Amino acid sequence: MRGVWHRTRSGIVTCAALAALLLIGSTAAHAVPLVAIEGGTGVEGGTAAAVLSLADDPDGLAVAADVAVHYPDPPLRTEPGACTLAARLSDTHQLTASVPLTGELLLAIAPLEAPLALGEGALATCDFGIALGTPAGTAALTLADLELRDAEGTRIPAQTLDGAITIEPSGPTPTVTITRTASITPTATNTSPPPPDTPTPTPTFTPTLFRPTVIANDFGNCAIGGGNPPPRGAGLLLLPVALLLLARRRRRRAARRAASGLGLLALIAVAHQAHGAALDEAGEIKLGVRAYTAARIATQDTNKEIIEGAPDRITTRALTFPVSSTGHLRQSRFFVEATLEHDLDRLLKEGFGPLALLNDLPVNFRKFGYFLSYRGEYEGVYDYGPAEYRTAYQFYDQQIAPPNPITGASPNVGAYRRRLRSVAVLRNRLFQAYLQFDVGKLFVRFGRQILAWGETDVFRLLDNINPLDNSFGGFLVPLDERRVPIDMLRTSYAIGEIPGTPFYETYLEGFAAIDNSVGFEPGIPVGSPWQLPNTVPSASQQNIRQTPSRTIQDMRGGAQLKTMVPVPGIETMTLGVAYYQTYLDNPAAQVFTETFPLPISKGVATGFSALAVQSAPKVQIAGTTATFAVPPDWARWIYLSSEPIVRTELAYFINEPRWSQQGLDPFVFALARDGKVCPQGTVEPNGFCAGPRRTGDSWNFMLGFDTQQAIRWLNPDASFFISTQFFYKHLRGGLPRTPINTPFPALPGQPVIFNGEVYPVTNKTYSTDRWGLPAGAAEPDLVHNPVDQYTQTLLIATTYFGGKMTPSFTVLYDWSGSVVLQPQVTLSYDPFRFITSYSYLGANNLHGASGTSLLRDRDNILFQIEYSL
Amino acid sequence: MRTMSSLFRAAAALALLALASPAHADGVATGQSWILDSNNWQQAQDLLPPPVLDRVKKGDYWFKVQPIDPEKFKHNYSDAFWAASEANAGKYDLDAETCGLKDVATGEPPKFYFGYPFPKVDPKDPQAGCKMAWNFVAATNQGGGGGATFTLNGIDSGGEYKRIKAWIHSMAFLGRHGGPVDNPENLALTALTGVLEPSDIDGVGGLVKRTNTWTSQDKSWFYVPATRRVRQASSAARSEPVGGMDIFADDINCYAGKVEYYKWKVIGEGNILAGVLQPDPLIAQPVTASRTEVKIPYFKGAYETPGAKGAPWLIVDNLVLIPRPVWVLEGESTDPYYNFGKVIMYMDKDLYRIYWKLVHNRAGEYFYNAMCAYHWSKTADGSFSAVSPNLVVGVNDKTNRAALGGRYSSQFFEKAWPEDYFSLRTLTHLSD
Repeated sequence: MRGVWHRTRSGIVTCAALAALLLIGSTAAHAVPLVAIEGGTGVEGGTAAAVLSLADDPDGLAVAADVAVHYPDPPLRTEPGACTLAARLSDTHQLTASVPLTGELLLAIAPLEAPLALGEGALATCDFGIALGTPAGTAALTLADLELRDAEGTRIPAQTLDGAITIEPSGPTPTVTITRTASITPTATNTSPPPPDTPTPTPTFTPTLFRPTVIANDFGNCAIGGGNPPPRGAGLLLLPVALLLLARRRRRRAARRAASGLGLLALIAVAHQAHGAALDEAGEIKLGVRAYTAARIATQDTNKEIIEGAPDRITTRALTFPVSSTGHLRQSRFFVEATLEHDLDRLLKEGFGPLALLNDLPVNFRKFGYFLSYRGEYEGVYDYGPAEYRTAYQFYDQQIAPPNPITGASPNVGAYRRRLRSVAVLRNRLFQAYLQFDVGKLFVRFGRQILAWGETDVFRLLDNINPLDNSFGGFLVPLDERRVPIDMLRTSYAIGEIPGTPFYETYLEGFAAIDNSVGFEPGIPVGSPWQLPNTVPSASQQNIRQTPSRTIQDMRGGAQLKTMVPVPGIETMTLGVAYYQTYLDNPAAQVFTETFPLPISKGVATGFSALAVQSAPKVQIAGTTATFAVPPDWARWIYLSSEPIVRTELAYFINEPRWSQQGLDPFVFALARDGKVCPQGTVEPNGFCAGPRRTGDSWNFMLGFDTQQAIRWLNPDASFFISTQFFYKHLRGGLPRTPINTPFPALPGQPVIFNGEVYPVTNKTYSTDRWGLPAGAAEPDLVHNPVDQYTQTLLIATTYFGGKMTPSFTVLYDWSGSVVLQPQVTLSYDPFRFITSYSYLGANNLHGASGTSLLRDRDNILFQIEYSL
Repeated sequence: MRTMSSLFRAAAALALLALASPAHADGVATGQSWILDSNNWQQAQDLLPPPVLDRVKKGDYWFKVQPIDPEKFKHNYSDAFWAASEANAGKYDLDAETCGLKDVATGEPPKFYFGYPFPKVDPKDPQAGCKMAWNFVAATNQGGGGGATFTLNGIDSGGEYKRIKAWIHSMAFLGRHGGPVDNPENLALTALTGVLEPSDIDGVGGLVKRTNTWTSQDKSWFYVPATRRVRQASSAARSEPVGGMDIFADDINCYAGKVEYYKWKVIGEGNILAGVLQPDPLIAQPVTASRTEVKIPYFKGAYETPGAKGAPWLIVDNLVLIPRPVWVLEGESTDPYYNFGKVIMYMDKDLYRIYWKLVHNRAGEYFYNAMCAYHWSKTADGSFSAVSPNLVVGVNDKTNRAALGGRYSSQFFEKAWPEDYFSLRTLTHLSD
């Protein structure tokens, strides 16, 4: 033991011996320094402290100490962070603790600068956890490998005295106490020798008398001599969540304002707990928290275009509901996501609880674990935003939300407001929850989860497995935050190299999902700042949504094969082939009337002139992807740096929802003329006139190009990431755009309405006489949807100041005539992110295609503060 | 049965631990360590790169210096490694055009090698720099494969402003102890990485494959949680800041690219103070039949040590500098878009480690240096050895900003990764 006397004693004997030795040590001349460890007392499931101390060093020879503490694990457990240096040494020494082996704690106490003496008294305190189920008794603490060094760095002889932690029987209310059986009396002064190599003046160190104090916090965790502060992190981490819950309970606006403000404060407070993501020593349980608050301010008035016609003349209406002005708050979003990931491999191997049953199966589970995520969202504009969102006054404005022109009935404001508040104000969700494991080459994940295929960003081709939810944050919220997890069984099987072919690293992945979530339920509620144009509270049309059922029949499912193949010239290409059945975000729509425009007399739409039923046809998607890197030599020919990546994706959609003016416009399909009832619709058995529920097929293609381009005059330190994508969509069998003939001559200047492919969004409404109806009967002119659609995206980003600033610029150009420009700057200072961006959305006319033109009156500026643990 | 096996393993581990003790007692550290600081900076004249010595003079840096026994230090590599190196004499040459390693017998890249391919290098040989670089690769790859959890920290004069915690798993197909393994893709090495913290980039993962040919580019794929897809990415941007910080992909080991990417030149020799965790090898303890594990003390930075003196990015705990003879090499990328110009590297004459590098921009102006510190690992029986790049301190002297990379919190060596582990499928499942 390299000059160290080593003894082992039981706890009681140790304490008595320590007392005796300490008493002797205080007076003994030229005694051998003694390093002792004294354990406290605890109960199973609790903690007990152990104090490492130095005695018998009256001349202050020792300036540094290294020692190993051996302890039985289980039942004892500790970690480096559980050890603290004695307060009296905090200005002169530093403590390094590590647990290199199970049951071994290494402590190293070294001078910070000048080699000042350690002095007699406590050196450090370590907390030991006591495992549940540990019977009463003692657990030995054994000192080993002690090295005391003097100011010259020379080792000095020393002896050790072991200790023990006493584990008491646990009662109904366990208490933790430390019984000290001895005190350490240091010498009054201690002058350390001068350092050998430097001319630094010799400091004089006068230690204060060591008076241990016991601080017990609420958790029964004890620390001596100042000790550790109580753990605050866990409580604070839950604060944003608690505040969201609080906001739900207290409906008063004032309370919400306070809660929102406190939420921000909580986020700031949480920042001090950063870097504590692993919840256990082994890192098997991991917690992640991401939270942000974002405010969007309008930089543009929303559209309001109402041209009142003279009596018997046309009134044209186009507006975004609610009507809102520049400078108004459009979004005040609070978002928190907490994730918990638990690796159960060790527990499985140890046969913990019911997991032992799995060990009896004839298969070997690996990477066994589960994942949980909570997501909370709160939108403040409905509580403390501008009046158009906070109150219902525009719902009652008959110019904005006109009554039924036939019956004179007003929209059911209560129902609209209830839906708005229930859908768009507050959400607390167990977001994802799944179990996963590997068995040989098979991977299985079961539970609520998200799965994405394909190679595209922004728009989705093969990536249509999970629905998107635009109801809460709207179109400008990042795509990944809008994905809705669904209940799914997902498996993949590693095939590797396919013999006899050039394909390698092949795997087959499949999924089956039974879930009724679809993108249009709940959909964007009327009254949301992100509602599409001309969706106003209506007393004329009743909407209902039909979602798939949770049955095998309505199950989503499919498979994809991914592989790699060598290709001459470009070395390697990644290929994918996929086929699956799913439900798209846009619904199919079917409109029913009875004796249009007279109100319906029976069923859910009684009193309304029309009933619109939104439903989800099962869509089949088949496609392929290919990705490869352009060799640098080729890229240099066109002055590109790095190694550009080319991405392609081709998908064929079968049975996707389609819409036409004739099919959705009851003035066309349902209005009786020439003595014919329901002239272009179908008369249902219940006497209703039904428009068609259209679906169709489409080709979808994307060509993408990513590169990192050095532009040194703009940024000498980092390159620019440039990613661009070109999307093409062709609606097979698309209806030609032809004018709709009317039975009555149109008034001069009356707009012509066209049949053809449309988006189920109204462009304008006309109170028209062209069908021979009185003014007030408003006919929708639906947004044209081109049969061939072209969209281009571009993202440019780089970093400055060591990654503290990330500017980016996003462009989306829809060839049908709309553009989105989005400059953004992100400032990072861990754990915070400060994001500001401006979104310009411009279009001369509304079009279908990418759909971006539909939000052309929502330009805004974003301010976001984000916290990431 | 499982219990018996566990007991056996525990007993074996204890035995190895016991065997490890004499190695420590009999280590290569000799003489008294001393502190180099602004009071005695003259003692490090010509022993540190000039920008580093300047910071010592100014009081930004101080280091603990530990004299060592150079002969014993060489034994940080296994006897098998040295024996294989001796036996490699004359077996390998260089492809004149690319600087690629060539098997003399086939005229092609070797399917496998172990030990230094060029055990004796004449510094006057015009290709000496390239040969030294290949010896550097051989030393790097001897561990074969393994993994570690590490951090990247962006630090400026105000302390830490950015922190990323990540893991890496890697496998070298060439140069490894234990002989060749199945290599159907003809790879030189492959690695998987994943980000653990912070949570806004948690799940970002990467897969890199380096093909064993002279002209091929590395291939890399990344999983980005925001898109939830694995995406092929350019791997030619080795001089890009990692996470925007002052640390670069090519800083691991102080050079992490293919040898063929640089033009290498020997421009001098001398002695340097080299950063190490400790001069003695750490003991790799078996945890499974194929895996050994190394417990590693933490390199503590001044920014996280209350009251510590020096620049915030200075390592104040567990780092010692040891005197080493070095070749001074100059490397310059063949890629005109590589962000760096001339790179000066100080490479160990015996162990072929690069301890320091000085980086100039394309205009020829010095702006950045990196210190690469290592630890060595050996099994108790000495049959296996590895050297690990445990720390990179990248300092941008122009902006007075730095980044720390590495600082493993755990490390293991793995002899037998599962088939198909380093694959897109694994990357997807690890990250999503």
